[in-house]
Amino acid sequence: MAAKVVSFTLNGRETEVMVKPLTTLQVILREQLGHTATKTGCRQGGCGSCTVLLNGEPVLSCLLPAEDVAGQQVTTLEGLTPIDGLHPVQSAFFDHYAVQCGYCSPGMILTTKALLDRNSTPSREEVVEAISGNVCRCTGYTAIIEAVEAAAQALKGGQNGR
Amino acid sequence: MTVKKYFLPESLDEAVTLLAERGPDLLVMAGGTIAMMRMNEGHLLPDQVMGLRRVGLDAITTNGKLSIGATTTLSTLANDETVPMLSQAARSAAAWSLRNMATVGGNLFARNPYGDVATALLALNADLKVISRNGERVLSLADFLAAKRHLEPGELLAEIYVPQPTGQTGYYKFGRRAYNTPAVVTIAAHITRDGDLVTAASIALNGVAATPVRATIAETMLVGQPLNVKTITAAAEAAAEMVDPPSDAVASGWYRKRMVSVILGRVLNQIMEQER
Repeated sequence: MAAKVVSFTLNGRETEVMVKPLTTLQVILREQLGHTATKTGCRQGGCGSCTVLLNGEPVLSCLLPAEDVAGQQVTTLEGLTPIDGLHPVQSAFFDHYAVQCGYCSPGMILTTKALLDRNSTPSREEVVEAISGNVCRCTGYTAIIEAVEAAAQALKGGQNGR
Repeated sequence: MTVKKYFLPESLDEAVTLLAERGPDLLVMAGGTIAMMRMNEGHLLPDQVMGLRRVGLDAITTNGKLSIGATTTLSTLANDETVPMLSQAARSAAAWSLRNMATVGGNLFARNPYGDVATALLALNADLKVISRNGERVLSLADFLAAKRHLEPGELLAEIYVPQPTGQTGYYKFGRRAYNTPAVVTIAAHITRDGDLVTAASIALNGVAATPVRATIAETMLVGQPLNVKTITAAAEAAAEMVDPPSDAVASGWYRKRMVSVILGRVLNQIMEQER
């Protein structure tokens, strides 16, 4: 089981890890790099709790071999969060009670960030479609959808996130 | 994870060479949305895996005919409007993050209830180019899907060729939710008419068997006829009569059979009412 060195950019920082064959990005993030915002849910690509952004696009880190991201840009929730305070998407989730147990939140927030980067004024339908891969078993989605809409408003109002 | 070796070839040549050297023990994976899931669950325990993300088969070209590289993601296809039914089918599959990973080629290997893009491609009479170290061959998607073993040892799926539709197309995925849902049934149809009469019909059904299938009886019934309530109803009922769908967590076989006639009726109606 020859491990390989894999280098990629994690939240803007050059990162090098030793990776055993076919280890997923999810396992590397959580167990080797201590980035535990990325959750381990179903490991089948069904729940979205392990969503990370790969070059700005949402992907599922539980299905992604870490070697495949060599040389690319990975963003996790840790990378979105400013040193002080919260990212506007996080604030909107906080303000709209869109977090209950919190397990889906990192994936929801990263998917929202990717959506708003592409479409600053999504319709409700577009919001629902975008987060359809992120499963929440607590809030019933209404609060989350409202938070995404509020985040879109906030970001439009000039409080640019990173 | 028991995998001892993971290969990430940088070219198609390198990939077919690895496949020839390592034989059937080498698991081939493109987007990983099927293979990684099964490995994570422990249902699949390969020693050696080859990932195709870097072989350079991820482009769509429209030089004369539409050619889709096998590792083109469903997101890329969803954003390409060359054949609207294909982008619609790609958009109907799974969710955004999955579509950023899952590939068009991989979708052809997916088992029921997945394979929506394969269903649209089947209705469009797509052909496949497969490559091995000994050369390449082209086979129809219909033959590929019907075969027990899709590819011969040492072969890799490289390209998907799609002829420009000559007639009108209709696509409908019926699931239990609006988005990110496996199919109860998915139906894709391509109907060519001369005046009022149907001159060619191809109808593909998904959700009714292990892989997408053609509704040949319904196709034959429509050719030479006009599209109207009577011919549409007869063809839709005949298509349902022909299939014996599986029961699973998504839907019962009985319900799927019933929905084949309902949804095919809707698709054909949609085509009948389209402007030509």
